[in-house]
Amino acid sequence: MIGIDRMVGIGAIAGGILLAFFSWQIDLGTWRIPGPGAWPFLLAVSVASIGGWLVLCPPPPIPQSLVSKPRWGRLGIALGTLFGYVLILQPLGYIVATLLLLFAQVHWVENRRWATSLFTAVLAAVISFWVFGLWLKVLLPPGIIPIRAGS
Amino acid sequence: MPGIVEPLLNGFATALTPGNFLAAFLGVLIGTVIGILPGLGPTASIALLLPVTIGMSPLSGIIMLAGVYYGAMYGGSTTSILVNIPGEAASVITCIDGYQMAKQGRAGPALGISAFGSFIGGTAGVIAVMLISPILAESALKFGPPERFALFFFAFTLIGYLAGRSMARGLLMGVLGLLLGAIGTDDIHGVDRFTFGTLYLRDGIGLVPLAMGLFGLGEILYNIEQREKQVSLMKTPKNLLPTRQDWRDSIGPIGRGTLIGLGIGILPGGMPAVSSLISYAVEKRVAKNPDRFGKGAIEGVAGPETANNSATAGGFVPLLTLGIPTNSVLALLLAALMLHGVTPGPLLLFKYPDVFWGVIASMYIGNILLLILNLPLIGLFVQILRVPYSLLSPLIIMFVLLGAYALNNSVIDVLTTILFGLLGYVIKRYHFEPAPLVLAFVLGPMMETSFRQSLIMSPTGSMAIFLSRPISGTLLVIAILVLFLPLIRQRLKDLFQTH
Repeated sequence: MIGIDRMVGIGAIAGGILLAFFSWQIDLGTWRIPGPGAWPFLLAVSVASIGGWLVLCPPPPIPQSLVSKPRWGRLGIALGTLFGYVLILQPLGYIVATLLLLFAQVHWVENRRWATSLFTAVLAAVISFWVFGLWLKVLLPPGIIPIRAGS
Repeated sequence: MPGIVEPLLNGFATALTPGNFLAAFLGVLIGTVIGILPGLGPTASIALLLPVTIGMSPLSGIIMLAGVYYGAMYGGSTTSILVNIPGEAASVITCIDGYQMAKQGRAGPALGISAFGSFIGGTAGVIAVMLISPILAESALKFGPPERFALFFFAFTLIGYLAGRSMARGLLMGVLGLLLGAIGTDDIHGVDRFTFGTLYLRDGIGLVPLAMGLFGLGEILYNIEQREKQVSLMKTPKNLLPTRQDWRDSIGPIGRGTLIGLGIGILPGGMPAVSSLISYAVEKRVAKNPDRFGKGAIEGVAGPETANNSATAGGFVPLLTLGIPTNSVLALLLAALMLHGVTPGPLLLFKYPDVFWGVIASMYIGNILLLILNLPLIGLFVQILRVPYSLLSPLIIMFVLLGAYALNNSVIDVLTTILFGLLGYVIKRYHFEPAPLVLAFVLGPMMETSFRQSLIMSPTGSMAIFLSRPISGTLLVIAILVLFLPLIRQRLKDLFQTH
């Protein structure tokens, strides 16, 4: 089976070649006056070379005792709620979006009872809005609740 | 010496103003709490606090962040000793003998010697920063672009070498950081690089979303799959003062730990965790009865705890005088200084003496505050561990996203933070090191400018300029040797095995 280092190495070679091509297109300039693409080009070549190093001489594999089993379900929910937060922050506003995010994190990711989750989410969303939006005047998006922060 | 006393007194006058004193107090308090809480290290905390410092004066901001850093080193030992869980990486080694001492009913002396050792190491480290920095800054003033580039390159290779179990992995992370630092409009020609037509990327990727994502969010996502149970607390001891015999056993390890910490802390890549490991190994080697180690030897607590605090202070020498951060926490401190328009380097001491001496004086004050906070209030701090992590981690996520949004009131910053959080998770999951990435990201633009300026300076536009100047030539030769060190070591090993 191909190890993680070899996989990363192959990715680095491919990425390095691609980046070198993009850097070439930016303008390499001359040795006397290097262009804006010269530095990224050198870095891209370095990435590809290190990739080659990883493919040819990969470091010893990590002991199995140090590798944890991924919990894809919980991780998936955590990431889903985070990306969802980006989508709802502007339209729903800070308080509602944060409340939903925290409820989802505490209830589904951390497996807490729904009452605890709701209480934590409401309390944290309201207090953080009060501290950051009203007291520290951070311009948080109001969304559907018409309390304007930062003013 | 007379040249140091007057600016130091001025530094104390600045650091003792109510605002700066409060910043130092808050910094060490937050640092202690962070150090005690497993799973949230000083890097993540400083990344979270970076946006908060934007509203503060440069000096207060740096005093607070520096306080968080060395405060975390103090706090980290408490959980190592009482619950066998290190609060941060540098306290891992303290678990071995510290927890054994606690099990034998000697948690008090273990916590006491750890606090005193940390105080001595930290203070000695600050004295060294104060004495070495002016000399180093004076010499660094003679550096031109080729020397600066060679120094950055040397630091970069050393960071890759010391970063973890594989140099190739460390270097890959570093080059990735340099590439991320190259995104945006080129300063010299005004040409967009890797922006793909987006306005957001023209200013480059912000350090705060990158650091908060990699260290803050990445850590939380990683912990989601690691966390098993809440820790059960051991009763907090009443008497924390070590006995006369404890002091006799610890004085040597404290002295050696101070020197080891300083030596390691000044080196790029020399993280406090490395210094505590080396200190433990040295103490075991010099001990009359090494069998006691692992069974509750006080030397195994005194040496490493002193070393990691001494290394923490020592890291400020290259940061303040050369503008080179030796680890990811110091990279964030460098970024914080730059956010406030203060460029660290040899000129810092002459252009911003109030910042330099104010930070030094605040570190003396901070170390005393930590000793006062840590000894009598240890029982109170330990109660923090009772807060369920299942409630704490969603709150940390909220602060990370709020901090990211508050920077520019931009949802794209929030998205960037989440994407770097995902990258941070993957990096941690597969045992890569995120520190070289952040260090290189911060150093990258300066390294590129020095590189291009050097070639423009060169009469023929040739790379030979780097080797033809004595300082840059020497640094580059050492850096290349470091690069080939794994290969040389392997060859020597093969040679010895054949014979």
